[in-house]
Amino acid sequence: LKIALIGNSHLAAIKTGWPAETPHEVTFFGSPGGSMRSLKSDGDAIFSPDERTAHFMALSSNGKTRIVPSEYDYVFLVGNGTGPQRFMGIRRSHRTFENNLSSLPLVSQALWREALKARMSKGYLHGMIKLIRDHSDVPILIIPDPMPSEQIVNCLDEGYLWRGEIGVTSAKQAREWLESFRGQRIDVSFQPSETLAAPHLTKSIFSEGSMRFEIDQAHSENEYFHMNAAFGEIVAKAAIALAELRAPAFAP
Amino acid sequence: MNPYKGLPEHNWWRHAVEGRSRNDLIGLYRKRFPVLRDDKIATAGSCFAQHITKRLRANGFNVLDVEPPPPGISEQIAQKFGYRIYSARYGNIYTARHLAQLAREAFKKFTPVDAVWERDGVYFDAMRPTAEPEGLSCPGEVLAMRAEHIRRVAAMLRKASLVVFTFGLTEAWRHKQSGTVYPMAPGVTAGEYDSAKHEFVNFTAQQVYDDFCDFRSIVKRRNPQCKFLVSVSPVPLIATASDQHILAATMQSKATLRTAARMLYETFTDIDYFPSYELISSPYFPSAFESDMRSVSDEGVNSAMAMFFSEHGGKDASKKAAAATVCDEKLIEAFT
Repeated sequence: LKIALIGNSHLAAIKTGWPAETPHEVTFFGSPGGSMRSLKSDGDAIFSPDERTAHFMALSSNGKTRIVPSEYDYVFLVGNGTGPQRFMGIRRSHRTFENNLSSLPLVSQALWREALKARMSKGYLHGMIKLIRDHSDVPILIIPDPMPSEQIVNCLDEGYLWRGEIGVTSAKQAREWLESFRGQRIDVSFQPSETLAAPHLTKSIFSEGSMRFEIDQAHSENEYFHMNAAFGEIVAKAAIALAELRAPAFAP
Repeated sequence: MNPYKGLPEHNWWRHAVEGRSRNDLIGLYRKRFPVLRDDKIATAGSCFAQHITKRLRANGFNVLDVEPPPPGISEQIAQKFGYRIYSARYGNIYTARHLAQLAREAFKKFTPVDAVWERDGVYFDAMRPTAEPEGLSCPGEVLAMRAEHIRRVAAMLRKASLVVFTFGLTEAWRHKQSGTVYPMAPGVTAGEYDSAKHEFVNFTAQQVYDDFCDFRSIVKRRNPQCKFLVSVSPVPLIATASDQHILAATMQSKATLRTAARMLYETFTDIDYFPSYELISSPYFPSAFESDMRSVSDEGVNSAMAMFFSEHGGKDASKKAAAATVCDEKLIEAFT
């Protein structure tokens, strides 16, 4: 299979852990943060008019700044703001009663749940899928953001979110939201269970030594959201297996 | 000589009302002072005040929102949780006593008694029992949320240049010993009614007047420039706890509130009266109500607000936020 992987900083773990023995031809297109939101159509290709994003795409793909979806047998969309924390958007403006360390305005658990739901219809994954579909009917596999490291529960400012109901609910809602993309030659490769410490947390061994996307440097110790090459390998293998399984059915 | 001779047109029913279109009720409302776009407006009151709030916001008036909802949630969900209905998340304030009590609480002169109500293992703020429809996990959470709310109400009263208040009811329920007045009877949505602890009260015009004077003086002490715009809700009572027929109780209540409002207008030059009640409730405007003869029709609200904007400027009296009004009173019917 000829596979394009398009993603944000979470692509780094998959790239560094990509299993060498796979027979598939693979190209990585990545740029950190939400910069892939800038992707646009141009003729038969997708590109970013943003110089920094184009620079990172070229860096990750050995020089390519244009993605031509019809050239690939499969597109993997990696990360792209699909983790449970995206459903916790209000954590920076509000808090629940459980968090008595912050002076942010209080909201009830019930309202928090409503705010999480409201986040589902937003984000740039929809836009990326639409862009690809404008060019090609290529099968798409979504590889969501990893769950944060289990160490996050000890984090002073955000730990409370992951210790209680909010973390579990957010992960559940993220999963439900991602499930809704299934069909129309789109599938989701959820995080393999062997990497999970809980449904909403990744085993901490997989976040140790995770590399930053933009520079050849490890993330700081208290960075809980990015994973290492060992994690990337497990996730990549699971995704490849799913793609190989689906490919015949998805064949034109 | 006849004392009516020479009186202006608006003093005569035949000239000023009969046959007049609703855009042509000259002189029914003559502003006492202008309401400006850059006024910091705080709104509160009974259900009808929600219409005023929405129309003011939609027409670019600066209605304060000291308790905004979390970003990204819809207007409908925000309103379900008591946000964006008024300038703070206090829900409907039907009586002048409740308004004065809230201001006292904001400036630490009052603490409500029996302020946390329970229902099926979850807890509610007795002073705004519908703000959290699913209730809260423990009394401590209710009190923490209330403390935060009260801080914001205090900030709002300190910075408002105009308080818009709609008088809704004279009937209320209160805690006998402390005098704490509740917006809804205990036991309707939560809590438990206990005749040894709670009593029914039907305020007189003098009491309504005194309560609003109390509120005014609390605000003026911290915010001397603040002005007030009052109105009487045209919405009839949904139920009465008095021994009168509901129609008689409604008329008495509205007459009482209207009297108090007039007394306030005559006493204080910083209080204006907006006659939406007169426009909507008189025989002049039979289509101002929906078929239940209680809910004010869009036509009724639009006409009232057109009258307001004709004096204060405003593009479109029919412009409003999409969400419906939140009328806690209806819960009395639903839970009884």
